[in-house]
Amino acid sequence: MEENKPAKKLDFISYAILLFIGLLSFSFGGGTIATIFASVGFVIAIVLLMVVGEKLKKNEKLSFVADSLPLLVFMILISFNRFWLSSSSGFFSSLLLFLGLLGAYLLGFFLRKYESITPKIILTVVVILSGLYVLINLIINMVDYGFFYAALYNGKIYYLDGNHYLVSGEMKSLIGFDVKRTTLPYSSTLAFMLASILPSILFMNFSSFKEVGEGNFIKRNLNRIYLISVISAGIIGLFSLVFIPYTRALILLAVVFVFALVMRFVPYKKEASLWVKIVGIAILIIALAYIILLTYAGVKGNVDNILVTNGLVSDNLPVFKAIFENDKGIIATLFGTNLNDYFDKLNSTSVSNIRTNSFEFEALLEGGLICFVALIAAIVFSVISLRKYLHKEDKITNERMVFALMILGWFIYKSLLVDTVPFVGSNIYMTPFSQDSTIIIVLMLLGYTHENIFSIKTEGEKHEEK
Amino acid sequence: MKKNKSTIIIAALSLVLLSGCKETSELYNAYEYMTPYFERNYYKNDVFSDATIKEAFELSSDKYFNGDFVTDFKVNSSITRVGAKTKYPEMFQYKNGETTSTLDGFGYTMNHANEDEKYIGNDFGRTKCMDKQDSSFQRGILSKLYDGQMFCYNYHSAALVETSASGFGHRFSKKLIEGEYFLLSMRGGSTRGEGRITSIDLSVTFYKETSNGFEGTKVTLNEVYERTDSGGESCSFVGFKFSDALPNFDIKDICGYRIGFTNLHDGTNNDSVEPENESEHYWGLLIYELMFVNASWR
Repeated sequence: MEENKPAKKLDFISYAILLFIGLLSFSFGGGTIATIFASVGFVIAIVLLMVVGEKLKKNEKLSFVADSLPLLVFMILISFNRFWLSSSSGFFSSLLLFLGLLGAYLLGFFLRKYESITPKIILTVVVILSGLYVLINLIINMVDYGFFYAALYNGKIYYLDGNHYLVSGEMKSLIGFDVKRTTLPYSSTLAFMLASILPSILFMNFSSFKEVGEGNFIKRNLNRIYLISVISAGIIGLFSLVFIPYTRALILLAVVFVFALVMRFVPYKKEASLWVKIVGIAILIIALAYIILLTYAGVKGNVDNILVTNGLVSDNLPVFKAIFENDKGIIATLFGTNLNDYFDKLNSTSVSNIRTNSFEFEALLEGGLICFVALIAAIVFSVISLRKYLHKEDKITNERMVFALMILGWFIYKSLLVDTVPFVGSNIYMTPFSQDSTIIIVLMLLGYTHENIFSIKTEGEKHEEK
Repeated sequence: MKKNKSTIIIAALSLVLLSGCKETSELYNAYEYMTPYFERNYYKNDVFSDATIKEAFELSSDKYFNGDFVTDFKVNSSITRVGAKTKYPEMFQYKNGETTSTLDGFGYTMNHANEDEKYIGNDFGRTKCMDKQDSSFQRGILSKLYDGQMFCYNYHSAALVETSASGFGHRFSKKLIEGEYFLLSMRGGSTRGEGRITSIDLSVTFYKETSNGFEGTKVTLNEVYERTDSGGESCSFVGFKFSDALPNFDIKDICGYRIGFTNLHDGTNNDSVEPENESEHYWGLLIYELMFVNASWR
């Protein structure tokens, strides 16, 4: 198993990669700096390609490209779209965003071939630095708001500079080098991802706690450091949510925990059985039908049905109206609306009117229908790839489970708890695809855990088989 | 030894965690002071209720400004009150390095709290407000009075403090070092809904801290006129210049104030000016902004 393969000696490139991953996990920079910093990942990915490129067989590269096509289309359309190109950000910002997203994914993929850095080392760096960031925010919030403030002061307001705000709906977060007031959904993503990895304890090999490696202190005690880091970071993440308490996130966390329990105690086959495939297709069909229903409700308006008026999806209805009922025709529908056109359509200049709560529908708003379809396809491919990754060996290891749970945690959270106007007292619009280190981390993890979906064989291999 | 160290660390951490809570030290129910019922919205919190009054001054109308907005207030054929722009036009000047400009704008609202670059230097309220003089004024319910929003602009109760005759008092977390003017943007409000002009004797008490507690200097502005129930933009800028109105009063170290009024003259109406005095109708002083203009604090 690759997790148990002894790592080669860490060289300069390794340290540079780990430094990048560490700073990324610590949400270094925040804001615009985060976007610029993320694009550095693209440079590191190119360097890594030059180091590991020869290890990649041609069919592996072709399969990777084929499997990643929907994700690549999504990255292009979410970066270069009418929504953002029409804003003051311009082409350069879009380019940086694209390089950051692509670079993270490629970095993860090439990192798997880079033997100096094992999964354990990657995860240890990610959870320690993420855990430290979340711990800092936890302390800030407990000092400034107190334990369980959202429950104790539910419905209470405070005044700041003449305005009043709901204290239970906000928290403080280290954004870059400043502490800012943000809404709960925006600043709890990393805490949720860390809390999500707690069930990986069910897959831990505690006997490895006693295993001692060779070399310096870290190498000798890597197993212990890793186990303690995962458990500690998971607890910090959980406490961050519990001590607010952020009820919605805790309910979603239960879904992640159930998933982990199923994976641990329900027998599975390496190859997905027919019923698994049938259930998967059924889920896709139901999801498609639901999206059509939301589209109808969004365009028609005033549809009184709990399926569309519930708090989980109702915020997203204006998106459908903007995409499917606009004055700019099919181009706007396919490739996204112009930012100013959207404001005109809503007949409002208030940014708060376009607060979607889901990164999928945010992609629909910003990138258009093709971007949205590419994202859904990328999600489906990621599920297939992740399943293969998890079941590659006879037994699911803790490291593989941590990867999967972090990705799943992010996906569930961002599907329901996005906030695009997150700064209290400000109308600044924040897309979940930019200035956010968590999407960069998840793309890197997705690249790392990639398993071929389409097995493309070269002419040579086909000839050999004959 | 190890156990003692751990205990000390845990205790210290707990102390830090429990000793803060600055964001939850002053909380209100969602519609407190902003209900649809006028008589329930009086703000009566007075931290100086036990303080003594050291001295008292009465100001006749020539000692203060009392405009219809900023211009002279022609109350009737025989009464005209001098407005702020007539009496102290220099109050509306803004010095930025070598250049001096006139602050002609009065349009700032709380919705633009993060857009100072648009308002500082051209909007009187936002440029001269106490929230911008010192960040300590940004906290608390009375930050409504210090944020630079001079009028209603459809924010209604969210933008003003409704005052009864007995009024309210506020202690600052800083002390005044120097200041030139005292200003209120105010109007009358009642449950009658009929536009009219009313008058009150407005009292402003300035407090300083002493070894025995707090001592106040009470300043009464006799016969201040204001429009009542004439819309949220029909405010009067009322105030005075310290050196003109109170030449012998040292304003240094002022740490708080109390606002109140007496002698409401409202035609033949006899409305209640205290929520405890039940009546068919109620009258209150609606204050949108309170300023120590060109002040510094420590």
